[in-house]
Amino acid sequence: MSDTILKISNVSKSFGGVKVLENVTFEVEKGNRHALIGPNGAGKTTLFNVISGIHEPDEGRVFFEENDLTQFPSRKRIEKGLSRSFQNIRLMPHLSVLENVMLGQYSRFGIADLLKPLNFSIESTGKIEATETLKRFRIDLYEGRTVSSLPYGVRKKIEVVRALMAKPRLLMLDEPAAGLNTEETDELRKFLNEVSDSGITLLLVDHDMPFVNSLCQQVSVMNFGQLIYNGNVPGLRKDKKVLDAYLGSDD
Amino acid sequence: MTGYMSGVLAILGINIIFAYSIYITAATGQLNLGGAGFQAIGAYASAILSNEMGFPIGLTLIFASIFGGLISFLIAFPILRTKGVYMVLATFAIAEIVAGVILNSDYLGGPTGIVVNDYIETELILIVAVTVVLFGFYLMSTRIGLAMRAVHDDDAVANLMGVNTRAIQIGAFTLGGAIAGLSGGLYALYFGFVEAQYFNANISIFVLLFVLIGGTQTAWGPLIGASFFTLIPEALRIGDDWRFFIFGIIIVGMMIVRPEGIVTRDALDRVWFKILGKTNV
Repeated sequence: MSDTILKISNVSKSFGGVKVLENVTFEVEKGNRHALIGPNGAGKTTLFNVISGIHEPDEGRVFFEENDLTQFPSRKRIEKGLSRSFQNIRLMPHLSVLENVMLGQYSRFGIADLLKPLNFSIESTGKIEATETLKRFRIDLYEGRTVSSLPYGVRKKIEVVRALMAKPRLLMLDEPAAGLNTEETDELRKFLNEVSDSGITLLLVDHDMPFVNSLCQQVSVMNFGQLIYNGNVPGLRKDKKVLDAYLGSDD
Repeated sequence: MTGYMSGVLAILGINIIFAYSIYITAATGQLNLGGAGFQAIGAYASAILSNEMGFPIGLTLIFASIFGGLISFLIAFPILRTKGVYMVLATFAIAEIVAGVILNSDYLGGPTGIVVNDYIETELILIVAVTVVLFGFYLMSTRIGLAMRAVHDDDAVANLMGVNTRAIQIGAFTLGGAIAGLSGGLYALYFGFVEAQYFNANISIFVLLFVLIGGTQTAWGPLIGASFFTLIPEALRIGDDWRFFIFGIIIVGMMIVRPEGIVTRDALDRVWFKILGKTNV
């Protein structure tokens, strides 16, 4: 079972005169846990933004399953089956935890459901599902509170849960482990393994190599906007280009 | 009910409706400082429809709303290209244009205004006000309401979550205009007279203050804000000449103590927690 779920094909993107992405091409296999790593400024977040539609690529295409994503505006892409989290937490500060998470379900509802009151209805399947998901990931304690007052690790987790509520087939996480302590990182790994076991493909950007090593099967490495490695984790340590990028070359 | 009480309640009702018109736009993060212009559109539409076309009261009010909504919808496209303080200025300018058009139009009575033949009682205003308040609470409790608040907080992320942010903003602005038009229609029919000078910048500033002081985070805000602003000056009448001075002090005090408005989500959560033993989410 090695179907491709996401295909990045010759994507280039410049900001002013700076080439941030240069002919980036790689594929993410269905069901895989795929990491995208690279030094700061390598273009990882820009690539995420191109995939999710915040930026249009100057050249190249992004295919998700059978769709050419570049044909769809950013808000339509979540309906196609991919959702994401953000490097700097972007939760809605004035919404409660539960409301933030329920916002993640938005794309799944038609107008008739959007007009149903959430607070007064006896049974709202969306609300029940959101509450149960929070419970499953052990953050139900906070559900009624506004997010701005919560600890960093909890907010980071809520962002992942929010992205999950769209029922994506591809979950894109931008530095999910950044700023977490060892205990929280371990818990996140367990959590992402559960997500992966439920059949969702993961594509994540992270700097924490032990975290990436223990979680991901496939790695793509970027440096100065170019893809320099694409393969499995053990191969990464022997690759000369990767070693040069991280440790510096002799010349 | 004394004439005075009835008058105060009528103004309270109109102000509450007017406050919800501005609140609905503010809930999506757009500040409308042109409230008076949209209210004037509804008031003049009612005056003309009632006097010239002989429309019955119900129909007059419905058309006052439709007219307010339609004009808001049309100007929403250029207006919503602006953001923050520029949007505040643009909406302010719209209200000035509306007043300018009325003052220069003989058909609309120019500076002398129009006497409205039909009239309504306070009770009707209160019924409409209750309906508008209930509608405000209903709207904010739906997923559309959730999307509106999300657009207020971070429109880029709301968009990635699948929210059509542009449609939400235009929809809220249009709905706001329709409700402002309704409040104008009620004003015209209750007072029996409309003149452009009444719908001035002061009115726009006050209604925005109703909403900001009341709080934009929940549907309680405009209700509390409009009631506070309408009733406190009346209660301060004993102080006579000093009442506006005292009122000014109270406003400044409120802004220092509760910069996010009288009713905030956190405050409500604490109240619900005390009553229900759980938070209402």
